Amino acid sequence: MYEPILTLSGVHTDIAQYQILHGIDLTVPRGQVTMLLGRNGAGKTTTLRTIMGLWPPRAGQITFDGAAISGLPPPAIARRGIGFVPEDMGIFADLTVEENLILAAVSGPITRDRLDWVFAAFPALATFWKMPAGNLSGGQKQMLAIARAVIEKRGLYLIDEPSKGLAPAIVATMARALKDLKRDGATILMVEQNFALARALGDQAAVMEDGRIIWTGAMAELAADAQLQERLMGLKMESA
Amino acid sequence: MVRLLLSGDRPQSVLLGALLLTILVCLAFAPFLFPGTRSLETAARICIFIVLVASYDLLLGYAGIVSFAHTMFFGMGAYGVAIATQRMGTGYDALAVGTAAGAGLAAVFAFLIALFSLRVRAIFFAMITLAVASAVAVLVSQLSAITGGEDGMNIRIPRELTPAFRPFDGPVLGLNVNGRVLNYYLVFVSCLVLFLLMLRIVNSPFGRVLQAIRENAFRAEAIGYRVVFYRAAATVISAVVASLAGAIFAIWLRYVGPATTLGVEIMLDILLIVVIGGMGTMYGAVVGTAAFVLAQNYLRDWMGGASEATSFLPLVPDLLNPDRWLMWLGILFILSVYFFPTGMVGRLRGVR
Amino acid sequence: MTLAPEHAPRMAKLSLAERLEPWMPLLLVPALILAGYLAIASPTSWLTLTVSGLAMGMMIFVIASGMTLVFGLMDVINFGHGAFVSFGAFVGVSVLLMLAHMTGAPSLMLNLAAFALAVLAAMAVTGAMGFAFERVIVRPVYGSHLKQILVTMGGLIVAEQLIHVIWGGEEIFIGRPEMLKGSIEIFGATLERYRLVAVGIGFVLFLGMRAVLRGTKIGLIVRAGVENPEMVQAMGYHIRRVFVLVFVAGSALAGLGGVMWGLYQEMITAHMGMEIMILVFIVVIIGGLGSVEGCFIGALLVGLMQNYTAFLEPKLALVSNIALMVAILMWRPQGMMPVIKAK
Repeated sequence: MYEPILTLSGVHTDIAQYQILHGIDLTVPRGQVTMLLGRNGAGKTTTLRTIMGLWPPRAGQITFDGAAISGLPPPAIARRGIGFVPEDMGIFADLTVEENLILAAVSGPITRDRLDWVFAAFPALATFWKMPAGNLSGGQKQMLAIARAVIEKRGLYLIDEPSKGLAPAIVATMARALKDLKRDGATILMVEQNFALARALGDQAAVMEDGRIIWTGAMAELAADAQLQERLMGLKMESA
Repeated sequence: MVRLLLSGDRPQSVLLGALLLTILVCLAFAPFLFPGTRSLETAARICIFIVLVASYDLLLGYAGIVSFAHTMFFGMGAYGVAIATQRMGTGYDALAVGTAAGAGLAAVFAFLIALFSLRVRAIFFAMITLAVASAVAVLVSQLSAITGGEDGMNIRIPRELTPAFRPFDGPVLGLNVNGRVLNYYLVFVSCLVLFLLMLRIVNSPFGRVLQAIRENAFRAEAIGYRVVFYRAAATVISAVVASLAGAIFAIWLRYVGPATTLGVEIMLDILLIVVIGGMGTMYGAVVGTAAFVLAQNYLRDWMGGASEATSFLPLVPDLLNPDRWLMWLGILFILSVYFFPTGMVGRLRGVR
Repeated sequence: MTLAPEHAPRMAKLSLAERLEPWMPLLLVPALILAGYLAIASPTSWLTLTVSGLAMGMMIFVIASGMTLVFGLMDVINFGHGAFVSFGAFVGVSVLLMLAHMTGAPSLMLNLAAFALAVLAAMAVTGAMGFAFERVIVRPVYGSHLKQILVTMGGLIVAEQLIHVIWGGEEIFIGRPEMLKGSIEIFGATLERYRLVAVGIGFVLFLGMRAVLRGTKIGLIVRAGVENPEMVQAMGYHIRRVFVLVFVAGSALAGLGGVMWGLYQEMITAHMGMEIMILVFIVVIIGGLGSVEGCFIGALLVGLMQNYTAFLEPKLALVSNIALMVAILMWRPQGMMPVIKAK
């Protein structure tokens, strides 16, 4: 068994008067890619935002790297080593690509090797280095969003639907980069609707429904069982 | 009957009801209960300010919009009457035309400002009204050919409304009724009607939509209400009523000038009264105004005494100087917004 | 794994039109100056007015810049900003009056030293006031514009009254330091020395502010925070602390603006902050809430407009600026240089 880096136990989150998460129990093992799956509105994004402290939980415990982080303000959580790629990417459109990355390197100047890695994975970012990020295409913005998270080595990356609304070619670039990251030993908790991508990247999977986790297990197990997929997510995969 | 008049908006508190009734009775019989020019002035001022403040509450409390141009609309009504009587001569027709012209101008201005600023961002409204109101105030004090400039204008009103007119030979209920008393009743009745009218408006479906918008503009828009339209309508209604109050004020005072109608001080008074009385309650305007005007009359005297009594201390007498009355009001105002957002009425109703 | 990019990187450049587009509003300044030249038949008067318009614009910018950033960063609308202007003016002028031997001496060095001391004192006091104001007045009302407007307006009233308590009820007249008095003549136009100095100070401040916003990490956090405060937080920056810093800096700048404005008018009153705030609001609105560049351009436009119209038709000076605001909002409803807001 892998050692867990992030644990959620009994996490409840409300947004205004609505209860969104009803007691989430989730373990993210170190050095693994965990896929958070489920239908729209199941609470996947809320789970990531709750971990980040953006929507603090009403009840329950979140521990990261052996310390409780629930109740801490988002900056404190981020500084413990969690990189976050939100659903809307959160790009600073008025800042250049360079400035976006400088800002993302919280603990100091950008190191040469991380930058090389980013440029190798996403050459477009080198091309548009001095350009306001608002002028980038949707795919390039997503690359920048991921680049910002990985510009420093962090204990955990939370990535919310990186393939959303992107052309297949760009999804492929993205997948390559994420695989590279994975090979590097990174721990990732990722929300993904694109099952093919999820299957290609994921080691573990957790399926959500109505603010609860309804299934957890190895990604391979889920990928191999079409009936299980259909039961959990209502999707059919025609081919293996 | 009472229920109908109040448009079903009951005070919901025995104490508040008693207070409102007391104020109503005092104002209704003011000439008989408190004889003397000075107290009649105070009573008329209370009547007019109740309407002025209530019309501001319609905007601030019900629609959730902050305006700094309310005195501008107030002034439009007052100057409308003044300019009309100057051009058309003394007569009721001049009063009517002036009032209507002032109200019309107020409506147009309000509509334009509202459409312009609310379309973009609701907070622009506060800043833009402040700018426009100052520009108008500057114009009024400089275009002396039309407005009398800083000196203002005296207004000649029909003889029946002046102290010289005596309709009865002897005293009625121990009071020598003259035109001034008739004028007071004109003020009282107009203000009562306007107040009840506003009560009706805020309790109508229109008023409910306004409140819904105040609570959550996005949701109201999503349900299908055109937020800009409702806010603009509230602005126009509020402005027209303020201008009517201004016209009544001019007829009562027989004078209009920049300081008495357009001054920043009056705008601040209105703000203070609404907040202290209770935003979004209408009745807050009544109890707030009564309390405020009385406090203004007596608290200042008390401060003067206290300032003299403490003259041996450093700084304290300066802080208690009656001229610093506005500072204490400001502090009271800030504390009210923090701790009693529902004001006196909210307290009396036991809300929070 | 290769580190080489998949294709040869070319530094992408925007086309000229794309680069110019956001700066279109900047062209309004020369356009307005030109219009002023055509409307004011006399070139010498025009030059004098242009310089005083620019001087006034710079001072308004100094005051308005803090306000627009405070709004952009935390969505806080501070109607009490004018209180810092008044307080700054009173503190600065008090210091200048105390240093009469320095301001009266015919030595530029001594004069500037006195001016610098006055400015430092004013900025220190208003900066400290800003810190207290943020904590006591503003912090409890985050998230509610209505309450912010009411409470900060209340704070303004109290601050104005405090000036009366401390300095007495009357206005104070103040002469400019000896070497800043008088004027020089260029092309037959009389240009007051002080106004030229004010233009210089304002411009240097603008460049300095730009350098900070573009060249330092704090500046990046501020610019990013104006756009998307949540993401800045999620990256690990305590935006509240940055906000307090900006609030204090903005208050100190308003204090500086107050000193400059007081010397410009050669008279100060407790109410002056509120009066100038009307122009500041116009500037902040037409510039685009949260945008320092827009604020700068807007301030210059308003300053020029105010001076040109005051010469042509004094009664319409403020009206003309409202007309300017209306025109600009018709053109760009979010202001000249709107800040792209997340959500």
